[in-house]
Amino acid sequence: MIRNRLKEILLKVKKRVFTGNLGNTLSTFKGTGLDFSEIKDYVIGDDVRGINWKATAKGMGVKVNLFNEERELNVVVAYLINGSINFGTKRIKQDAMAEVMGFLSYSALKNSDNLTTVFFDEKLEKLFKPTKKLGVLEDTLGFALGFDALAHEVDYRSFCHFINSSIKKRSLIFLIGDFYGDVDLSSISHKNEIYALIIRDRFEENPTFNGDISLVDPVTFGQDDMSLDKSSLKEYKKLLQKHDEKLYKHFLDHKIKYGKIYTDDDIYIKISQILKG
Amino acid sequence: MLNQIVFEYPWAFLIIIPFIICQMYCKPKMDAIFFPTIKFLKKATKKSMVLENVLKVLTLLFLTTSLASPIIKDEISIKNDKGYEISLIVDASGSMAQNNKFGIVKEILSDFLDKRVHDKIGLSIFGDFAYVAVPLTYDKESIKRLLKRVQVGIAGSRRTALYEALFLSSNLFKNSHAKKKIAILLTDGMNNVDNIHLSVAIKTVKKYGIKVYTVGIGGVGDFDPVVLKKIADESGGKFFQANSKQKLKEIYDTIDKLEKSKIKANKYVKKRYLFAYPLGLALFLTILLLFRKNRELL
Repeated sequence: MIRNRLKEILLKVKKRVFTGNLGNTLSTFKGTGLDFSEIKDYVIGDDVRGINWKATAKGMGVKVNLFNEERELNVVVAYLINGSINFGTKRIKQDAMAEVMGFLSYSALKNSDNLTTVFFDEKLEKLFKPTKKLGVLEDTLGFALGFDALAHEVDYRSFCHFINSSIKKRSLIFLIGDFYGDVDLSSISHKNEIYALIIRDRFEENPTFNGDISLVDPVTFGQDDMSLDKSSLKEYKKLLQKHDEKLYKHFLDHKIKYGKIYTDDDIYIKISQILKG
Repeated sequence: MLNQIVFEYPWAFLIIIPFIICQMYCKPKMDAIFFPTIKFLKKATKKSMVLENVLKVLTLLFLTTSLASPIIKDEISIKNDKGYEISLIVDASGSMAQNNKFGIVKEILSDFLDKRVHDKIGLSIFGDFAYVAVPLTYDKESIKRLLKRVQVGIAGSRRTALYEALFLSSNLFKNSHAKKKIAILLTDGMNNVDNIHLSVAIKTVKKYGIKVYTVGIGGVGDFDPVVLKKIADESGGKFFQANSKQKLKEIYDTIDKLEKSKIKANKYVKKRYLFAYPLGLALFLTILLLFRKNRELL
């Protein structure tokens, strides 16, 4: 079951990333590479191999092509395991998060970046060491899909502590989670470039429960019987919005780029939009 | 008004205990699902949940209250023709002042009054002459109140109108329908007033069927045991003599035991049933609860 799903995701990821444009993770350093940046006047000392003959032939002096330097990036994909990711209507968030992770990882590996994959809840669950091999994708996806998230809760403080202590190089960090907890990423945001990908299900943001219902907390397993009506659901939406606004403010304050992805979204398109800003 | 309300079946309130236990241990089984943001939902539904629980508890409370059947007891009436009628005849002549005899007698009498709850009691005092202080009544309080005020010499302090007192108090029973008629004659002297003869007094006593217990207090020679015994024997009562407080108390206790009234007084309690009010309220709250539920189903 998990195996099939893994293959499905892998296939989807490979197909979309391969046909789509690569290099979402651009470095701003100019140099040798394949990624064309601009045309400039030839100055003595420039590499003659870079002369753009077509532009030169137009008669405005010798022109040289400039490329973005190919630079190895440290990409960290952090999969934040909270009990609440075991929820979803079309598909569970855990699955959607795995797909997000697949896209990011595959793009990074295709770009020959160093990919580190971290699974974290209260503590470090699993760390896949920096690698450039595509084979790691199967392992990470398998772990992401097979992990039982129930009863786990993300501890953001110890997560930051872990990142600071074990990821020494400046990195591009992708956080994948639903960010319902007490999020505080201030201690890792100044050193690294962080993207927070908030995975949500539409139903949890806009539940259409009616009357009496018994709900179980996926972290504490505490059962609560409640009776819901229009006004209380309205109040609920307000509270959730407040929480998200606080979250966004925290992200903005610490220059963390963020984006929300719903489980029924086209994940590839959503990720591209978020990464392009 | 409110303090007159009593519950006919107060143990009905015990139902609240299984309710509380049930609230804790046997919640209604519902399909439960995992939901990630319970803390927000809980916060959002807090108000309506509190309201609903208050409604539920109030409904139960009103239902229990109506089950316990609150009533207003309006009136207690006792059928007069049954039970005992006791006439207390007390010597208040001058000699009773010695050794606080009268004070002790008053104390013991008021004790005796407390014991005879369901009986009609009258009080006669005699000294130079005899008079009826309180006719036969259920109102023990007023007898006690009067007893407190009675002093030695209130009916003259020189002589002892014993036969007159017996005669007079016998007449109290003239219109009585009681099955048992008792007189308790207490004296510490000899009769020295000649307006009524002993035989007349005894005749009257017999005529009304009164049992006379005679109590002589004081030392030998203070009272006439022959006369007192005669009165007691003729009427079917008993003669006692006492020379101490302890002894006197025992005598009254004995009389109390001898004449234990076996018939419980017939009480008429006029009840007004009030259960309809809490029942109506409970019904109203139930409808309110149902209405709330209905509103939730959009």
